[in-house]
Amino acid sequence: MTGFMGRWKQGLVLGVGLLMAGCAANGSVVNLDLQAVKVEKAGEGLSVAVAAFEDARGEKGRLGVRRHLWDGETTFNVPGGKAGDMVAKVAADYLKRKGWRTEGAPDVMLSGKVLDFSVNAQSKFGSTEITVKTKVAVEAVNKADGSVVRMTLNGGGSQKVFWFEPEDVQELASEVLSESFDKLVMNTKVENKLLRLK
Amino acid sequence: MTMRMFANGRYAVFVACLAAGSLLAGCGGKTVTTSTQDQSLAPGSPVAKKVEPMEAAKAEPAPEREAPPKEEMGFGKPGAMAEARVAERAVPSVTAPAPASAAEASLALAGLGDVFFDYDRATIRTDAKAVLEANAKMLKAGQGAKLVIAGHCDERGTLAYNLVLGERRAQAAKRYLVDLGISMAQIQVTSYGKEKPFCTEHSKECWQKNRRAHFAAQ
Repeated sequence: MTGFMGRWKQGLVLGVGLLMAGCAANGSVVNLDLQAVKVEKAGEGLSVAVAAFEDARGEKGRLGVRRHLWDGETTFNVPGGKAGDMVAKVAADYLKRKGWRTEGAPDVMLSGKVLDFSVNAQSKFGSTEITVKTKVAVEAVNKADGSVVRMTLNGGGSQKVFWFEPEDVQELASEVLSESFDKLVMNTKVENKLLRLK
Repeated sequence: MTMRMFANGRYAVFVACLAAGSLLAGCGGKTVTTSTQDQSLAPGSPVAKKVEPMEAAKAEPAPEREAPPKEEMGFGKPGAMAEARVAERAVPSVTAPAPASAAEASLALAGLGDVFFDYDRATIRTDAKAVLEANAKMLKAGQGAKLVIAGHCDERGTLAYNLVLGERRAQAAKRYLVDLGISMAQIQVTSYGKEKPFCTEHSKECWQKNRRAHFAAQ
């Protein structure tokens, strides 16, 4: 009987441990260092210079929060606190990996406006659901003729994890942004060093 | 013994169910969706027309032109003259002796006047032609002194758009100087877009001041 009680205590500790997995680091700030992921190189692209993206979100102080199981929250942000700079960095990173050149005289100047970029997580019993939402208006100006390609890129992602790690959020947000910029490349073509819509 | 086995069995089932439930609940697949909207291609503003120097004296209609900012010509450059007085400017003679040093060459370029542009245009205006001709004379007198032409824009439009527009303005000024006989090797161009405004007020007058090509010694 003593053994039975002892194992119940062990089970209880295990259960509490599982629950507590959703409660760590209350009140802290997690800085998400995002980068382009899952990029397949597609030949030689244009030469591009990526200017800083304007952060046009209503709430610029953070990307979002993770609400813990019991109480409290962790804040998500980007290093330096400038979401526009981070999105521009991912764009440049993505295009470079895609085969575009980022050195020398640019054929295209890319800039944009971050209309929405939210990262949130909600911890429940035994799981945490992460959601990412992005909306970025991009503008590519062709240097040769001054023509402008404009496009709004929408992105969304969600993931349920058993054991929450900040890296999960970082990975999901990176993936959503990368796939958004993939849409930009997929919907455009290069003609005589000019970016055009397909 | 039976009780212990029962207890062990229930314990194992409980832990297994807890773990399996937690894992099943927490291992939902990752979904990522993306889409695009508002795709558009806007043609560029007309490329700066290559103006022959001979045309400089001709009157050129400029329907969208705004008044040149007479009060601020040479803004930030105390030595520069107002556009209205450019024609009266005493320019160094073409046969003047060459500057003895790079510093002297820079000094010789200090009086180069800026040229201004219409909104969203990179076309050399009539008033700018006189300034460029005066600048060309000074450059010839400078005996190979090198300069940078920096294109600037007003605050309207995006950063990228204005960087390109600023470059086109600088290139237009460069082309005009080359047509006047200045060596291409002497001139570099750069663009600051709207990043380095000469005037920071939000008014038409201020915007006109910022739509310029600025000349500086290298």
